Amino acid sequence: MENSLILVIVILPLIGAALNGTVAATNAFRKKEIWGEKFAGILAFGTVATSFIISLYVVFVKMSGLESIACTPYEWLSVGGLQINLTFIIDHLSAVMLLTVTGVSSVIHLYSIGYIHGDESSVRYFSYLNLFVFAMLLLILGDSMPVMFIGWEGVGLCSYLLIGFWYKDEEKAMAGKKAFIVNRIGDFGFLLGMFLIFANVGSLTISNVNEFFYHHNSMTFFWTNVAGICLFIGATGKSAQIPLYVWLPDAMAGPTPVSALIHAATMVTAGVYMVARFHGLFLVAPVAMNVVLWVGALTALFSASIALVQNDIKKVLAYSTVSQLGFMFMAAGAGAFVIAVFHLMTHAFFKACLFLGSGSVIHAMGGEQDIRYMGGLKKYMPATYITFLLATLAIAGFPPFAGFFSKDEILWNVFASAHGSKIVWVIGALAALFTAFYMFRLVYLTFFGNFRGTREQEHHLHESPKTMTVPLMILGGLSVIGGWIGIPKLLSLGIFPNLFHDFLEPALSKYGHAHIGHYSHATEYGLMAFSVAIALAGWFFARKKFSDPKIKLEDPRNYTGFVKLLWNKYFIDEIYIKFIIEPLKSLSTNIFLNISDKKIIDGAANGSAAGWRKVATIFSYFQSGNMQAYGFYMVFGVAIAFILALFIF
Amino acid sequence: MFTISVVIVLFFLGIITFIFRRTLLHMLMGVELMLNAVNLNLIYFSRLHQNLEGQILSLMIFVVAACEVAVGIAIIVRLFKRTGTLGVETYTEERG
Repeated sequence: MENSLILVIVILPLIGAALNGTVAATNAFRKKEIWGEKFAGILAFGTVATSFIISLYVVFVKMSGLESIACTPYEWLSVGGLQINLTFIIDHLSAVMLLTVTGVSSVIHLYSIGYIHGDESSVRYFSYLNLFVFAMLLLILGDSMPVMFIGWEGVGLCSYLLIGFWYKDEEKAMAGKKAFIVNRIGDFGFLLGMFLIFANVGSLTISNVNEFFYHHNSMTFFWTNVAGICLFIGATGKSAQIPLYVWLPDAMAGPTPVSALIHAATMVTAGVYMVARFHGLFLVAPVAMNVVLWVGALTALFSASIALVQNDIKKVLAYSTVSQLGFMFMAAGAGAFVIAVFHLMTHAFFKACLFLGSGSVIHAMGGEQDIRYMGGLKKYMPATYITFLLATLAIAGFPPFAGFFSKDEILWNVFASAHGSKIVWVIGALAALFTAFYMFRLVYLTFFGNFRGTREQEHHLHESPKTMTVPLMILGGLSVIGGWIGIPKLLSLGIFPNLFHDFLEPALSKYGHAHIGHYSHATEYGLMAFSVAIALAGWFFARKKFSDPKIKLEDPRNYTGFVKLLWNKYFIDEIYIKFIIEPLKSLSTNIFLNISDKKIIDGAANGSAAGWRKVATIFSYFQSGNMQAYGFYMVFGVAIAFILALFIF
Repeated sequence: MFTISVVIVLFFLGIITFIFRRTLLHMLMGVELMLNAVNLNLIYFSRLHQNLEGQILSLMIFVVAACEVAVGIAIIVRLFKRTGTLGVETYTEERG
């Protein structure tokens, strides 16, 4: 088979998951372990790292000069005109995702070895983590919507399993359930979009779909936009956008490496990837594009504002992730798919680094996540501090860190693109200001000042083991240099090529591209300077407010006004419970359970049973229990049969 | 024609015994009568057609009937030991 290496990339994590899963299942029943967490960790890390190395080889050697390479190991189904193969395709877009996902996954698997050390079900943990990578690779490399959808559901499943990894804690199990259910709502939109596209295009292969919309779109304007919006609803579920973002902050109940891998770096970006994948469709659906743009912008601002006042270190990062995903959708909505994917990649680096850093902090604090009880950790854990700071600089948008290039380009595209809008630019800029502020607030409260926890915790503070700091350093380094492959021409004055743009642009402008308005270079430089000014302003405010070493933090219960609203996350969860969940529950119990189920369905079943019992009592009269009567019936029957046979037929 | 008449009479005697005698042992005998009527019938027709198949079949039926009687008698003995009676009206477990 041609290019079977692609299959190897995909299958390796599956093998790891199967082996570790089997062992985890048997270990539970045996006293003696087949292998413990050490080997499980090495196996999981090994499979993913091998996948990463093979991916590097395939992307840079086998694919050089080619537009895409594909591999079809299995013909899945062929019904009528519908032919779906299990085809894996690597083009320039999926190559970027492939390298990001396998690369970040390898690093996080390595980190997990240190993090999960000592947990009784660590083998199970590694098997889930590997399974996740497998599903994610299906999602990225599948060349048709059903294969993509399997991956899409697979990552949702693994997300559920890993959020509820410590399922004995009911709150965590509930968080997993919430994530799964909210994702299902989004998936429903994705499915509807898929059906709509199939009904009109007659094919589910992604390139055919894009081709269709680019060349001979026979769908009406209305239905094209509906299809786009349906797909985007799928994306809002998976990528935690308004109105379906509520699961992501709760998802922080899972182990921290999981938050880093699934709920920051890879799975939640699947929605952005999907929108970029279907750019042929979105470019001819201006209303859908506008929805993407506005939802992205509002989410970015909304969740950044919530992150301003949260005290749980992981919650802040979770809302930050939601906000950054909003930025990506903003870019996609403005037609700048390349920039969306660029931000996706840089975000994967610095947000994974931030999460792993927070994991390291939580580890040192003995499970404490509240930043009000931290402070001054700088001198205890220097490696964590430095990498965390680098990633913070990156996410806040300081040049020359990775986040600066991508975020600045997003704002520029939103400002200048024909699909963009100036109002959205203002929203984006405000969200960027908030980002810088809450990130530096986090840094000041965690690493600066005096320690505010208990004496016992202070005594226990320590730097994390090597398996945890090395990944931090790798990701911290990438947060610094990761953006350099995408320096805009204007800034590098044409000295360095914009590698990322040149690599991805052909793949993402094949089916049309958004027009960038004409603006002078001065405007562009001005906006760039403005981005830097925003980042500086955020840092300045945070420093002014939180750098005092003896800072006294207010009790959240005393918050008033707008801060109280922010602290309570705009009461969105409460609103959902009151206006959606409670009515649904009462509808279910009062109508579906008590009337429809108990009265109609049970009534019909029990009623017919009772009716037949009545009929049967008539016949049971003949069954007197007297055997001789039965003999008589038989003789009588045979006699009738004889008579019929002899005289009638 | 005579043999056929004997067969028919025998068969109906068996049926009547089965239906109208009130003890299990008699009913079993009625069944045996019917079986033997059938055997006789087979042998007669085998002779009429000048081949042996009917007779061989009847030999097999003897064997089966012997088994059936052995099992039937055993059951009846057990029933008698349990209830002390062979009256068919005692056994009404098959009431619907």
